[in-house]
Amino acid sequence: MNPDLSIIVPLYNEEDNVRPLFEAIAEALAPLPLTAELLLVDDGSQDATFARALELPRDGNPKLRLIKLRRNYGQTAAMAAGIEHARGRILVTMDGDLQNDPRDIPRFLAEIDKGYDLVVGWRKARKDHWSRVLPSKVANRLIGWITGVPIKDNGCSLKAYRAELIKEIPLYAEMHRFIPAMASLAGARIAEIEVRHHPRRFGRSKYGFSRIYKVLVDLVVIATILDFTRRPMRWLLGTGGLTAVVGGAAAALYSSTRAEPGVAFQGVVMLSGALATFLLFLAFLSYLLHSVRASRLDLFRRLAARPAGASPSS
Amino acid sequence: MTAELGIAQMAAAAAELSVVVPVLREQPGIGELHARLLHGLAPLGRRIEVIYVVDGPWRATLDALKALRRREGAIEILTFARPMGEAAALTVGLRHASGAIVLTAPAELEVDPAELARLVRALETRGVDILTLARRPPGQAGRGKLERLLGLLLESRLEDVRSPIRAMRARVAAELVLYGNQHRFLPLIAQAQGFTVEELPAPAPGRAGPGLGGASSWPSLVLDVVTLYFLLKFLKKPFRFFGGFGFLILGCGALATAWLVFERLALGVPLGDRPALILSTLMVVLGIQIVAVGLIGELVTFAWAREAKDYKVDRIVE
Repeated sequence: MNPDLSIIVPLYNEEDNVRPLFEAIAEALAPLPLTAELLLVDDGSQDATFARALELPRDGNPKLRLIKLRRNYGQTAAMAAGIEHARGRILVTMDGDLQNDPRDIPRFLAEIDKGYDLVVGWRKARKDHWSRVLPSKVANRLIGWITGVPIKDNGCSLKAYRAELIKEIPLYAEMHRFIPAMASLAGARIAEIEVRHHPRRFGRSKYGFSRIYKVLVDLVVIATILDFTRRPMRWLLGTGGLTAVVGGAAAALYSSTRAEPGVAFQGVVMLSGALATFLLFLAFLSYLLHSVRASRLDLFRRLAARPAGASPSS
Repeated sequence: MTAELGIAQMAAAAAELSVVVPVLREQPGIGELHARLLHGLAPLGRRIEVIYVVDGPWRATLDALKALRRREGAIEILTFARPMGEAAALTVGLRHASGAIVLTAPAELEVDPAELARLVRALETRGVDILTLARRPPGQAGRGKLERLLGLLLESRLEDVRSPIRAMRARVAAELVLYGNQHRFLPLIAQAQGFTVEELPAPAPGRAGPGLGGASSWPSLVLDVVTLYFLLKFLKKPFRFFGGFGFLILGCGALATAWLVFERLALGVPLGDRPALILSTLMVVLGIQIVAVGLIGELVTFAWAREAKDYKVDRIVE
């Protein structure tokens, strides 16, 4: 029988954290009247993480399921693997480094029971070095500003989702940062609650400053894709309009100049025309892609049509 | 061995060891090769099937192989009506292999066939997914140019990436798909799919012949490496690649244009006839085009993300 709750924890070189993590989760879940499974996803650890996980008791509550990936693929992929194999009605993801506190999980479930589709953790008092906190804050502001979904802490792994929502959202590369933005477009109701945050006890942090560049680049991508999936026609018309405007302006300028316009100026006009034409053709291509893959790109409209606010039947 | 016995053996059970041999041109010595292969692998005591993938209408070789099959049994012959390339031949051959371990060997076998048996044994003792036989050309110390380049770009530590002699487990053979010239980088492609790859150094330098280095021209090799670099690093995030270049060129162009406009407005330098204006505008246009193409790439990735998964699961324990 499928459990009510799936907890997904990606692990990468966390051999010292595996057992304390399991015990903390089991303890936190013990008072709850629901069946749960715990999916530990070993993201190609080079240390004894998987061996330690195998030593854990595999019967009882939560029911333990171990997924070992072939090599290290990164946190998003590990999470996606867990989400794909999860059987629960509600999914919870969290970090494997014990910085999230499993005792917060019941509060997440309570929010889901209130009818929210996605509950996002907010590490209000982060116990990290400023060199991690600052880039993260900048990134969150940027993400909130560009996607229009102001989440204070996109980087917090502790989140709870309704399974049918998260299973539809494509997760690849480092898209986990944009789950709230994508979910919001799908008409999801999002709650944000404060969570406890602990300093690392074992192991080393695995992030660096290069994230800012990646976040920036990913943002351009996600903003474009999200806008495009909503109104592909507008992009087609927009670039077509650009072509017309540039062409018209060039012609007007050309004819209004009394003297012979400079050669370089003529070149610039022609280049703009060429660019506009190129963009128009590219817009046709993207529209073609959209028609071919409407089932995937249109998922937001499809999900939004779901009774999003309905209460769970437990 | 009589023909009847050979056929009986083949019918009795599936092969334990498959050998895939792509035949890319007429091979007058194919019969001799077959005998050498069987002789070299005999000490292993496995049931062996040899799969010859004849890549093109090589009639003489095909007839020789058919005659061989009538005599010896455990031979499978696959043919392409016209040459499809070594990567396609390898992929098809690997797909047909039924053994638990699959060897690939070139039709022009340069090494002592006993090395193949050593390779198979080493694969089993080391517990890796792929083991390649690293050839050492005479008079060369250390890695070749290509290997050093790949080491730099992709953090590969392999000494002989292009070695055509490889032993792999059935699960690798079942999954690998190679396009274009990717057979040259088979170990790296397999590594990207999460398989473990190691090398076994060939014992004596000297017998490594024409297969190393000289086979392909430098331009095509460089093109292959660039393709591979993109494929392995940016397949799932094309915009990191395109966006980086695009924004760089766009930024330079925008700055240059701004400077020219500033000169025109503030210093009164005539603008309409300056070739620099065409260059700066061209950079802006090029930058926008690269960025736009990168975005289309991301759109494709996004649309197919759920079918083309990022990750491969090794195993699940419940």
